[in-house]
Amino acid sequence: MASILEVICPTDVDGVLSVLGESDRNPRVVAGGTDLLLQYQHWSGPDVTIVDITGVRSLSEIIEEDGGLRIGATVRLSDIIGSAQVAHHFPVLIEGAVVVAGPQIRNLATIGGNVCNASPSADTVAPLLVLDAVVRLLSGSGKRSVPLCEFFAAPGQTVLEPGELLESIWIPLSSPKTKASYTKLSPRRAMDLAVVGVAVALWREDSSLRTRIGLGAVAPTPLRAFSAEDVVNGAGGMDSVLAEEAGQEAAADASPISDVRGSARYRAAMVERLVARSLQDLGGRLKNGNVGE
Amino acid sequence: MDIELNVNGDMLHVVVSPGEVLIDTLRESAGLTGSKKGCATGDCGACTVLLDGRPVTSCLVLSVSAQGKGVTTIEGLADETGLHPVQEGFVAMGAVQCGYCTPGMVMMATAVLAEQPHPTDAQIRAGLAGNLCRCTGYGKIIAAVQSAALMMAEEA
Repeated sequence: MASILEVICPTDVDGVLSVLGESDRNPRVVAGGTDLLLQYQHWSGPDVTIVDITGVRSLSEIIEEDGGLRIGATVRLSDIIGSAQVAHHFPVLIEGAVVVAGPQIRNLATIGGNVCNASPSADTVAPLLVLDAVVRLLSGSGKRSVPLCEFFAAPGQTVLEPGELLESIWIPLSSPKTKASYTKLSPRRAMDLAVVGVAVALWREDSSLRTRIGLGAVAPTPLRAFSAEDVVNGAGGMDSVLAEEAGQEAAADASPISDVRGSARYRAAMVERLVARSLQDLGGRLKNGNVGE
Repeated sequence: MDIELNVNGDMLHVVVSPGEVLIDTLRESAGLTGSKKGCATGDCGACTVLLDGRPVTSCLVLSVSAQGKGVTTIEGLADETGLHPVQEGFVAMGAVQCGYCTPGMVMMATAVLAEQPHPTDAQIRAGLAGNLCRCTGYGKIIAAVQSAALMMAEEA
């Protein structure tokens, strides 16, 4: 079994990038550690140097910037849940963060880690997808931004290059009238992974509807259900027929597997139902304005 | 690696391997065996300690990374005047059976009450959602936390 050779705790981004540039040390970025430390206990690859980035203050900030909200990589899920800025602009992200594991894990786990771990079922990712989030990456040779919907390559794999650090997640401020929801389907309410996760955002542009639909746990990566979105985009209003049709398209966008948590057929059926139900709920909330909110 | 940890207000010098997690350092090097190692995968909550006041599963915290932070374990709750009200509540309500989950439950319950001094049963259940107990059925644990809330309100 391979082991953790050393743990380095830089206090600034330059310190992180400089260690990440030393590929012979096999550096691995760790923040909350709730996924990675378990992986390294059963690691068969080469020995690793852990770079604990939680001591870098600039990575733990939530700041309004460039017409959006920048959430640092090491912002903990419990801090997302407690953030007045996130609650004000993106309550759907809190709906995702609050159903991850249990309170102790949420006090360790970070938003950057939940994204970089690239689990198909990550509960913050489907909400981030419907918020049109962008990940900001840094390396010794520069920086780049990648739309979150292009960030995932395979289960556990992203387009992050060796030496690259996810610095923050940037979310454009949306119209305050946008309605969004996240639904996690799982047998237990805590300490469980999603069988299916469905996030939907719905808003009006001029007089027609626009939507983004994000799906978790039903494909090798979290994904946008683009063809389901096409069914809704441009429609005049939401009704059960349109919602059902979009649900069916979303199920076709998904490519679930059967595993211990559910069969592929069950997952596809639940995508269909949950997308249809979310669209109808959000359509109702959109029509009623802010009543009851 | 030589590291220094602040545990229950005492500075401890310990030697750890780089990949060592806090629960092992607490139990094996510091001799603080009150915190229990259950699943070692962050699922059961038995190893819950407070890190700068926030409850965390100490099986998922590198000991090296806990340097510079305040660690509070179950051994740090009671003081010279007696048990912590949450401990009193667990005793009074008979909320302990095999006892393995108890230190983690107690630590998490203190954090729940610190945030919400007058919790509803639902708030307690949500707070303890990451602590598994296979004996009690949780009913007496909820009652113990409510009893502690009453005691703490009377003391205040």
